Amino acid sequence: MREFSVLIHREPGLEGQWVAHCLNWDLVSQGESPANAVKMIVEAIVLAIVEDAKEGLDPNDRPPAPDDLWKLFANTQQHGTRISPGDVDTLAAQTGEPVIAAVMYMHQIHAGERFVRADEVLSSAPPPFMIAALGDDRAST
Amino acid sequence: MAARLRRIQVVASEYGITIAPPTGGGSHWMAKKAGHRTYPIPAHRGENSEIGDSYMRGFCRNFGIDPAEFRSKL
Repeated sequence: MREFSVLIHREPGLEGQWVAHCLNWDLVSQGESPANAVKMIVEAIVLAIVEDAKEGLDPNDRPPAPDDLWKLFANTQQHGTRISPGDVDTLAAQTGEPVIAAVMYMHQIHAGERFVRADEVLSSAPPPFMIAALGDDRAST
Repeated sequence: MAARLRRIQVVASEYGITIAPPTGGGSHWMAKKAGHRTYPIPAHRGENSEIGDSYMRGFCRNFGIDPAEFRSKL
């Protein structure tokens, strides 16, 4: 299993959109809800693995996100409320400036041996397991 | 500041970055430039997708672009 740290928050200036940010590889995606944003960042991660394999590169060498985002992630994990992944959308909608720190566990994808299509990976791999903490951005900064 | 993917494509091309629709499945487009990692773009509505500032900062970090300069051209 591969562990990813994902920070989820509303996208300022883009009504109804949520951002999921994979801090390990500094990949960002968007969705119409926190759960949808997580689905999208999983897709972005798989695409990064597949594209890097085509170039003979190791995705683990991608640079991580900036320190301030890791600090926000750690602070939310430490002081936020542990929530069930199934409740993420409902609870985030009830929070003022929600920020979610999710530790996501994905099955290891080996794209190096043959170049796989991202949609094949996404349809065959089990969904990631997630542990999430919900905090309020105004309180954590 | 959010921007449509169509506009981001135009500005990115000034930096030698090509942005192409998905070929391996999924709804992310792919931004590529020699010597840099391929960067997926969340474009669920194709060229009409609105891309937020959080994403664009990550995009600029990946390609070594000043985000303020990039934003000013959008």
